[in-house]
Amino acid sequence: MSALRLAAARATKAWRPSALHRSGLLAAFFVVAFFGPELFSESTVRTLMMAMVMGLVALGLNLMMGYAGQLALGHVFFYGAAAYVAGILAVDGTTNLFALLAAGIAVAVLAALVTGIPGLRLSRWALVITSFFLVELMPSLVDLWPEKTGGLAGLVGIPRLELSGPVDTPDLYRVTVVLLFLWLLFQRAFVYSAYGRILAVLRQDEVQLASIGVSAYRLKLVVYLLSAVPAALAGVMIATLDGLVTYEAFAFDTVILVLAAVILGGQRTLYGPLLGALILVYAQQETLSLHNYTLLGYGAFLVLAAIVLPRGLIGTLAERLPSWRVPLLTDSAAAPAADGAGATAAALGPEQPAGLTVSGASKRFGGNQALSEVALQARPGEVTALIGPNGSGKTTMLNSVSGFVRLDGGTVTLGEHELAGAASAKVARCGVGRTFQTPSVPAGLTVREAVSVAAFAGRRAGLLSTVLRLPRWRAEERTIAARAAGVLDQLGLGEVADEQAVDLPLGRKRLLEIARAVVTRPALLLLDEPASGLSPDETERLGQLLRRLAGEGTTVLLVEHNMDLVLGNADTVFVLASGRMIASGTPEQVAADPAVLSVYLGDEVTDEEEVVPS
Amino acid sequence: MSLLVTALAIGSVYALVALAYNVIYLTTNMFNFAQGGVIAVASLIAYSALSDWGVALLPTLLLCAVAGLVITGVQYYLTVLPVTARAREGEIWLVSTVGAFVMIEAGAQLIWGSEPMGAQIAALDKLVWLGDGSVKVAAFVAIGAAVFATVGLDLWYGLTRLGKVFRATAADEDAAEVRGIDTRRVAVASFAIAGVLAGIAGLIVLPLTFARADLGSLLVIKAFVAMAIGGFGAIRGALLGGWAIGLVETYGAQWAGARYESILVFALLIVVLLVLPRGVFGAPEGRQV
Repeated sequence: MSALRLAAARATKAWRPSALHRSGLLAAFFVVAFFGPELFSESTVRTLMMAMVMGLVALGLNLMMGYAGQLALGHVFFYGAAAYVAGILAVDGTTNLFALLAAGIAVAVLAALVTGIPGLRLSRWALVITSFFLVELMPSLVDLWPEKTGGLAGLVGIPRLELSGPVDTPDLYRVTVVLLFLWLLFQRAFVYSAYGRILAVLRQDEVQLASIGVSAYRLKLVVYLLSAVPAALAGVMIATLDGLVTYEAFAFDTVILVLAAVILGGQRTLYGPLLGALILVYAQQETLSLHNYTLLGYGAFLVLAAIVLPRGLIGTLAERLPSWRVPLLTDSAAAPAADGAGATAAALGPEQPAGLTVSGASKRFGGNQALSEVALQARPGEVTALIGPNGSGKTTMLNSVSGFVRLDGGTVTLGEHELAGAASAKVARCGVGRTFQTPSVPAGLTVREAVSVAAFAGRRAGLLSTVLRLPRWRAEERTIAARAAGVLDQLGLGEVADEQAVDLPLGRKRLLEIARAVVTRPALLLLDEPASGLSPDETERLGQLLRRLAGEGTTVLLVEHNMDLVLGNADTVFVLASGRMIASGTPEQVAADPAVLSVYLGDEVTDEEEVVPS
Repeated sequence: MSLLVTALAIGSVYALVALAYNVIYLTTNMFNFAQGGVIAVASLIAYSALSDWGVALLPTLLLCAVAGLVITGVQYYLTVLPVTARAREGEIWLVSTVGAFVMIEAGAQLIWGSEPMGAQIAALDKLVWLGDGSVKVAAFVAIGAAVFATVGLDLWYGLTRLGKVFRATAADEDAAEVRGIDTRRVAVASFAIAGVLAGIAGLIVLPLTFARADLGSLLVIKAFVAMAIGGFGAIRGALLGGWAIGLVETYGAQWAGARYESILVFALLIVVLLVLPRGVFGAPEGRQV
């Protein structure tokens, strides 16, 4: 599969669109769309207008469902709420475009907050339900203020927009084209940036996301609020198009239309939802008289698309043309590193070394005392190993240091930071990097990009400088790219930096995880069985890397079964058995400790044990 | 008293629908959207059987159960299996089950039209005087059926060996597979149970809500809210959530006016999610680290 994909990539290497080509194509589409009233018939312009409006709603849904990987059904409500607010304000005499857009966006974002805060907390289904409920709530809400909203009969007599004078239909169309392209430019800059990279991690693995210092809840909420914006733009435009707003336009049928548009065009593609909306709106206009059959057709279409074309039209096309993929991180070789970045790229150790002290750590899972009164110290500049039979509490120990397990009692301090009780993302931001027993790499990212995601929590370029591509963003991207390249070279992954991370063999995925953990130069590095699945060569290289990290001041805490790696590289070894610390000392002391020997060789030895004494 | 019974009866309808969703969610972590459509079709079949074809009540119950089973079964093999067999991740099954729901509902509309239809069922329409008002026998039947289904499923999942197999599949599908559980068969059985449940629910709602093609759309959101309140996959939670909605709807409508009915239920949902994000009986989702 991987070889095939590589061959395909080479075969099409003859031509790959540059950023200039892409922007040129977008500009050409913009010009054609903008001069629509001059080029097309009145009915075509109307169809295009509807397609753009539905396309904007679909773009919002795609941002949440496709890019953030979290289904939400409320975008049709945002669209409707903005339409009603714009309509009501216009009837009351406010017809200025910018005022209406601001009001529409405000109400849509508010609705997103009301459903997003309770909906995104723990269960991935809660948002589906709160946002779906919003759509069902529309008639009830409209009926609350019938004198303002026109009640169930609809809001009529909405005056035309004003933009230095009243706007006629072709102008309204042009305003919509401009809004649509502005949003496309925003979304394009957003998804082809650090945000696009971090969203790939969010989709794949929220635990991983927390381990690099990013809160899934906050990230999803931010994307959800942003995704309400294009729906609000669509609502304001539709309110003034016909001078009429009825709640029926924002019912379940429209939810299905928008969902179908995203699926047909392709989730997680920039233009797919627009293409899907264009096709479906056109089909709908052609079959308007057959309402029930239309719905039946939509249903059948959704089923078929899910089975036959789950990636949608553009998604399937993109799969066939891997070389057309837009890089989410500029190659550092193509863009020379900023001054000083070269020097920092070589450094792996932390700027501020800090030691780890655990004392009195206890944790009970049901009837199982996983840890009891465990004490452990790991000093900067040393490799500290934690060993013990399976089920002795090693991973629980790592998890409680990194905030994934909350201790029943005890303290965990890193330098001046108290870590016990802090959320995992917070712990990571205090300078803790970690890897997991089962490596998980995000689908859709190259190795280079997958390593760079760790820099997201510490980025200085905000949303604005990112989407506007300000110098601050450029400098930061160059630094990240240079660091990622430097670390990848250190770990021997330089040659595969531009391959898809998911195509790597297990051993290299593990190295990739380590690269991701060290790229931010954490003060404390936690490694959970990093050597399992590695070849002897790779294990040896890992040992050298650990020595080097320690040499540069990193506090390394290693949980490992491979005794060669432990005895050959650790400065201090702690031994856990049944949740208690039974021994600690230099590798030689521990290897000679009778208590340790009895645990490993006595009657507590388990079948799965993989201890390899050297 | 009569108001309380009415509230619990409405809540029991939501609970029955939520149970049908929960039975599938519990073992497959999927929401089979189409389940709401199955209930609507079952209620329309019950209407036709009782009013047009002159079938007696008990054979109609059997007919509804079989119809629910068959429709859900066909829907599983045509719209769920082909999708989940290819890719479990990405939740593309959501798209296909929503599609199936839309198809079932649109198909029902083509056959039965979109008007609500009430059937005369002498045994269920009989009124019972409760001191301050009267209630249809059907209300007690709905409450009884919801309690019976909840207790029955709860005991079955908790106590029987097969029930434990189902729960093991829910907890960790890969681990269950390794231990020799045929997770595909567990999924099929779950869809079958849910289908029968949805079929029976179709008959039970008929004297309370009328039969109508878009019944599923009306019930599905309340069923989802019941699941969210009670906890996804929690059998007892469905009954608790359903009743909570029924009470808020009925008493809220009386206190604040009918137009606030849905808004109050929405407020209930938001408050529960803020206070208990996993619902009252909800379990943590999946493995963490």
